[in-house]
Amino acid sequence: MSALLEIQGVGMEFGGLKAVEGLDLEVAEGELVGLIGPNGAGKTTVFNVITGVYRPTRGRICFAGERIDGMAPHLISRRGIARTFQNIRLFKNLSALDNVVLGFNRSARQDVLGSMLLTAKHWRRQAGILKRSHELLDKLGLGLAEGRSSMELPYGEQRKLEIARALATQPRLLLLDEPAAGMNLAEKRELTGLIERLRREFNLTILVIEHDMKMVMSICPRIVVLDHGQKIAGGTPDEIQRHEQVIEAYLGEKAPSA
Amino acid sequence: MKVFWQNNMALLVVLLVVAAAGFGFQRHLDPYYYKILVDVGIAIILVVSLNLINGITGQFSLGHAGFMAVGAYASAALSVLAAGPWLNGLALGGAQKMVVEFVALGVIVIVGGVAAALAGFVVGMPALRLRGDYLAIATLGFGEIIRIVFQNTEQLGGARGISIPPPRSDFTGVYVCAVLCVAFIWRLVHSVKGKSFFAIREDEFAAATVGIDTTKYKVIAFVLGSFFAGVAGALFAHSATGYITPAQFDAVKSIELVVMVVLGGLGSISGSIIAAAALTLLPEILRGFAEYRLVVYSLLLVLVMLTRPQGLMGMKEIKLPWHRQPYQHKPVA
Ligand SMILES: Nc1ncnc2c1ncn2[C@@H]1O[C@H](COP(=O)(O)OP(=O)(O)OP(=O)(O)O)[C@@H](O)[C@H]1O
Ligand SMILES: [Mg+2]
Repeated sequence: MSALLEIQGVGMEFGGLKAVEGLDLEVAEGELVGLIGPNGAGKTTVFNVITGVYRPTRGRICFAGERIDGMAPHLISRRGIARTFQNIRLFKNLSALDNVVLGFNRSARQDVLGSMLLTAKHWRRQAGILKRSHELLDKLGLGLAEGRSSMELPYGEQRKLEIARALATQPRLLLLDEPAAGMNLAEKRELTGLIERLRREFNLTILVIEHDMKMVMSICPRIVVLDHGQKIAGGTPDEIQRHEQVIEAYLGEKAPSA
Repeated sequence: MKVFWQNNMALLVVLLVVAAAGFGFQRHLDPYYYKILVDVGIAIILVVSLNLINGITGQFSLGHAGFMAVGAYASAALSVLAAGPWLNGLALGGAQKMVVEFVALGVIVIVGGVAAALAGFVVGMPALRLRGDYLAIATLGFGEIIRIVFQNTEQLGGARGISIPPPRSDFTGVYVCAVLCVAFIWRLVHSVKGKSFFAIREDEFAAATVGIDTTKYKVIAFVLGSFFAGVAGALFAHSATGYITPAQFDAVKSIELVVMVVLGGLGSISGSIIAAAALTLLPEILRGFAEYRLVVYSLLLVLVMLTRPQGLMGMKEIKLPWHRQPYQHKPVA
């Protein structure tokens, strides 16, 4: 199986601070990989360089055989990479439905004149996107929330709505940044099931950052550990749990206990 | 085709009503009130188009009067050099004259709009890379440069100003433009792709990561907003006074327009319409206060902003009963 995402020797420096250093990571099509590490390890920064928020100061990133480092974020999104954010970044004042509709935006051409004149073609296209948005919201159990503005939704639903918006862009690779943060046990359990279900249904490759070790260990067949910007370990949950450097990195933090 | 007519029937009816009303007003309305109504119409075009840039897309521009000036002077040049003399030469009368003048006004207005849109493109391309305060300063600077250029262009009357021959922008002309401006901008930003304008204002960074070409949308907003500012400028230049000076398009005018957008609610088109009407009427209503007029006007503004910091309408809209959008929210259980 050839890798869908190939990260080679990527480094990201902010001023003098090396947030990520010499990172090599390959993710094959269909994989579900966990990315863990103590606070400030550089996990979110990895997502930021993959999605084009930052241009890596070193190394190269290839997606589906094409180099994407240095590409504008919206172009990377159109290549098929979607993400959620650690600190939820929904379009707050827009309805849940609008948030998802915006995710679908790349599946229709902008037609300024058509939308001003409300031509039949434009009308049909809109109806198509709306239908798909409704379906996607229903699939994530957000059907009843669609008319409400996204900032009024309960926290757990906001997290799910971010996933819905990401899915609407029809990604091949989905990056989830701490999707379970702030969720209670029941919500976490539901989310675990949801991730599994969506992965199969949408043929997704997923890279997930998560602090909840129990959850990561239970859903990810492969885990990569970052510390101080460097990859210190990679392997199955069992291997990671026994890895000395990992245990060391987490000392003083919560130890990874499954 | 059937869908197209269904979608546009209401708009056509509104335009016909506007035309009929214009016909009636011209004969039976006191010229003072007639002029105020026309001013309100022009203000609506300016404020709604500025809201597209400042409120809906969240790009703080302080140069709207500059684009209005471009439209006003471009249309003035056209009228003085070509349209005016040509109409005069035709020596028409009665209904024929009315129709020809209406069409001529249409052409003039479009020329004013296109000139301003071009200026908007030239200014917007580099300026929209700037954020927040920097964009505000850059557009403010542009507005002042435009004004000074016209002030020093003797062919266009320089600082003294320029007088403009008919056609005149009457009620019908102004309100046809206003209705089209409101309808087009509304339809654009509330379309499925047009929601991108709001998305940029909400979170530009998140918008880019869902695949929205944020620069493109900012430029569209800026160019379209400038187009309608130019339309308003052309209408203003051809209003009953028929005389414009560069000083009418100074920074104070731009700020006045921003105040109206903020008062109506950043992002609310209905709010912009209400604010444009209210703040154009208010000085007239306050005539009784004589020299205290400006004080009362400012106090009222402060009062509104204190009680409703999000503007009169916030981001909400008043929707008309015949409003057609494909957005059908399921009822919330
Ligand atoms: N834009 C930036 N400018 C400067 N420093 C940054 C920037 N972004 C991240 N950093 C720094 O890079 C380091 C890694 O941050 P990052 O957010 O990637 O960590 P993380 O692993 O996601 O941590 P957490 O688990 O707390 O989310 C931190 O020291 C952070 O302060
Ligand atoms: Mg993080």
